[in-house]
Amino acid sequence: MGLGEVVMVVLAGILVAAGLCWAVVAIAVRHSDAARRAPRGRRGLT
Amino acid sequence: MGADGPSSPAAAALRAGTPGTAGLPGADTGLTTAEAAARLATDGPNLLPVPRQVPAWRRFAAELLHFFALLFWVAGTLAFVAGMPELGLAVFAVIVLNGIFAFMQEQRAMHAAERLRDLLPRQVTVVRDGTACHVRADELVTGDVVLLEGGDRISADLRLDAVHGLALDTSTLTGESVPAHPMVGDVAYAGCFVVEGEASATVVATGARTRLAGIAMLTAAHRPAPTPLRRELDRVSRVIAGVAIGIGVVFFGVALLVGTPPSDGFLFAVGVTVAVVPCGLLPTVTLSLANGAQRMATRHALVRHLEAVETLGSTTFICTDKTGTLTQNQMAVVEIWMPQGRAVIEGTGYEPLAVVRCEPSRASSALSEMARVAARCSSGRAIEENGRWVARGDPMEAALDVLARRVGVDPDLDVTTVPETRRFPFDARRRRMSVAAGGWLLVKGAPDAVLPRCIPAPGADEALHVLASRGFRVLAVACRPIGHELVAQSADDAERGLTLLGLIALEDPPRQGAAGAIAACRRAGIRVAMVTGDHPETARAIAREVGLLVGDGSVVTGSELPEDDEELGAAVDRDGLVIARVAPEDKLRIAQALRHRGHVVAMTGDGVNDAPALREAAIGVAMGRSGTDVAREAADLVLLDDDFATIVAAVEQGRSTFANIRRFLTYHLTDNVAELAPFVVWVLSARNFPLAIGVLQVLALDIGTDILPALALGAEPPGTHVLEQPPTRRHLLDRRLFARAFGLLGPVEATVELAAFLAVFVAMGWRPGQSFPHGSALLAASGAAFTAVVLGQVANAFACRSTIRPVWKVGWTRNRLLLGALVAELAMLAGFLYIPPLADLLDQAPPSWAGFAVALFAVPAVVLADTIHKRNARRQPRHDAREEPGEATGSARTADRPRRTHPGRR
Repeated sequence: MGLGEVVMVVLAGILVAAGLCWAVVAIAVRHSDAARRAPRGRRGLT
Repeated sequence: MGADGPSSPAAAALRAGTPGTAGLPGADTGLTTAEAAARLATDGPNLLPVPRQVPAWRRFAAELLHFFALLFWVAGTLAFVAGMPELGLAVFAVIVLNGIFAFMQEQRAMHAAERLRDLLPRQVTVVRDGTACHVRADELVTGDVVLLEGGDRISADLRLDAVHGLALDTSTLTGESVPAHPMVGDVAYAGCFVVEGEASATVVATGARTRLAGIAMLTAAHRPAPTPLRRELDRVSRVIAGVAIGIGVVFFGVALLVGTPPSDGFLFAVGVTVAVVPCGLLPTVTLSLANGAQRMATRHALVRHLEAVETLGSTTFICTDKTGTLTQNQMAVVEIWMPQGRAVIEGTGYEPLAVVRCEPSRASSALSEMARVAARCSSGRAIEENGRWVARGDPMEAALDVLARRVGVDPDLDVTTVPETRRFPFDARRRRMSVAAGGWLLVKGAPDAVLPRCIPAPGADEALHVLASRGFRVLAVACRPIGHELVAQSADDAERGLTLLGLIALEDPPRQGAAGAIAACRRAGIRVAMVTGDHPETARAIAREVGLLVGDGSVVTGSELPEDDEELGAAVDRDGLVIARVAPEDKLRIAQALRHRGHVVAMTGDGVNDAPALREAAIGVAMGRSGTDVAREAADLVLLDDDFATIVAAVEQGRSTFANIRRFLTYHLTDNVAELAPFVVWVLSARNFPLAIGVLQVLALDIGTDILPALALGAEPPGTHVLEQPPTRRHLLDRRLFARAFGLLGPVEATVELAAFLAVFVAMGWRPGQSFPHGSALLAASGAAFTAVVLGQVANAFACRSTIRPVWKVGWTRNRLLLGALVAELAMLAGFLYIPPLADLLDQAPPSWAGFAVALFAVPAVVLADTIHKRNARRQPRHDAREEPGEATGSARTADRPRRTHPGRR
């Protein structure tokens, strides 16, 4: 791999990894928000 | 309980030989202490048989078989199938280690909860050796004579010997919500509550022989339900796992399509799943909440549900009682008005000696007579304990006993010489009580409940107004002759045509810390309202003294509250409001109205009727000393010292716990990027770029090096100005946290990690364009990448201690636990690199000097990125500059204080 390729692939890998982590946790939080049925007050996580 | 009258004259009823108790063996005098001790020794303590606990091995097994663990079992088995036995074994080891860890945390949390329960032993009023005294409920024995009053929880099966308007809530046993009205001779079962009235009763069965125990034995042993917070975290983690597996499977399919060998595709799928799932999160949250609960307990606030710790932190409105919460609940008679004159009493506490000035002096005989009547209508006593005079029973009742002694009347002698023939106990609707003795009906109660029943006394109304407007609590005392026959009528019929003897003004000084605590609430952006059953003027005077009511602040009464719930919400949603003469139903409506306006309400209460309001409020606060058992069972928080300042301390601890959970969430999530990036780079380069860290190294980071610092962040002590911020309405996981963990710190760690990885190759002579080296060079490069992530996390642990202060300003020694955890983390790193079997297992070797030098850059890189991020955040106050509650402040607190915004003032 040439220098350009190495740099590109590393940067792309980091960006994709960060995006994936963000997306996964955000989806989980949104899902939890929708599923939540708080009986009183503000309870819990999200 | 009643604000204007005695709560229970039960002891006096007994002293006077209440009809109905006479025929029972030992009923007049109760058991002797020796007899009770003997019976306790033979029958055993009055405790419900402990339900069969889920055995420890089954709880441990559950930790090995929950959703995540099952995933890992499958992954481990697949690793064996795919011919990677080391990976399989390592995954299994991780499941077991994680299981042991989670099990230990659960045990600790369970024990903490048990210890908290033990802090609040249930007391019962019994007659032993002829006098009423309090004993622990587990010391009750068969034959004990128990005195019951409104709000009591019945602790053993009792046969009723005498009842006065008794109503029992038997819903625990029968499910029947309408109170029962048992008669003399009926049995009141353990587990029921006294709704109103009073009674004396004899214990017929204790402990395992009670009906409640029989029912309890029938119900199967069960594990307590998980708390809402825990359930939600569980749900979030499951979805994370689900999505991670989905991504893994998709990438596996794609890898197969582009010609990647199945074993590599599988390795990638497992890597993605393991890197994204936060394995250590759940036990850390539980432990953090349990820690918060324990810290609150040391400040006299007892949390009944763990998740209340977190809710407390977001409290925006406190509705507080007055008596005992804002005031000392130490009553003293300070002034008396009589038709014949007036008297001023100057004394200390409950001591029987005082200066009594009576004007004119000839009114002193009227004063003595009035004090005698007041004492006859009182159930409280002042007694000397360890050289100090203290109140036994209701403080106001005790103050009347003290008054009698101060003017030279011996209340005990009076009771013996003039026995009582009939008693109409206090109830919250009549707001008065009366006693028939020596041919007279003696009445005591709230002035507005007594004066209309008196022959008009000139000057009484004016005197009442003057005393009330000065903030005194006022009682009226009256009497009428009834002859020597037993009063047969109802209380309403008997208490008519009375002669007013006088008005007694009592004072309950404010607690010392109350004003400071209210000021702290103001700074913390929490609104405070006084909600009391007391007279408006008394409420106003105390509210002014503690600084709740400022300027022309308004005082409204319960009857003036709007009928419409929306209008009610608008009317009460103000800081410093005083609502007097409030009925328990009003409290419920106020709690509902405030909740509908988006407030997180903490509501105090102590009476039986307060229970619905306590349940409705996000945080029901019951009084540990003066409260009834019913209120305590309905509450989320019990104040062991009844002090308002304790609520504020609990809010402070709640905020601090909330901030701590966010701290370790940020910490945990940050290295996910650094763990995932190598896998993505590896796949994107079509496996030309070697895998920088493998699945086992990811597991070593998640379960090994990260755990202790995360726990230490969960134990960060509260900052010195936790209460100087508006309440947080933020979510635990929000965009701000994502941006910091995934948008900044994670990518920085990943960049240094891959740079260190490449540095080892470059130092060995590799140049771009050549194929990557294998063998020992790859192992050393992988070791460098691993080292970079661990060092990055060391810096990250310090960065996570504050959301606004640079790492060097957070105070190095405030969290010693963290320093220890970081030392342990570095020791683990050294072990993983330099102990050959461990290094072999993780497929890594000690990095070369070049790799190590670049890996070291992870520390300044994370610190620098974090500092720039915090500086930018401070420049954008609307979005990010609000400090975390519970922030460690270090030395630079004033210099760096951010601009604050208050949601209510925007």
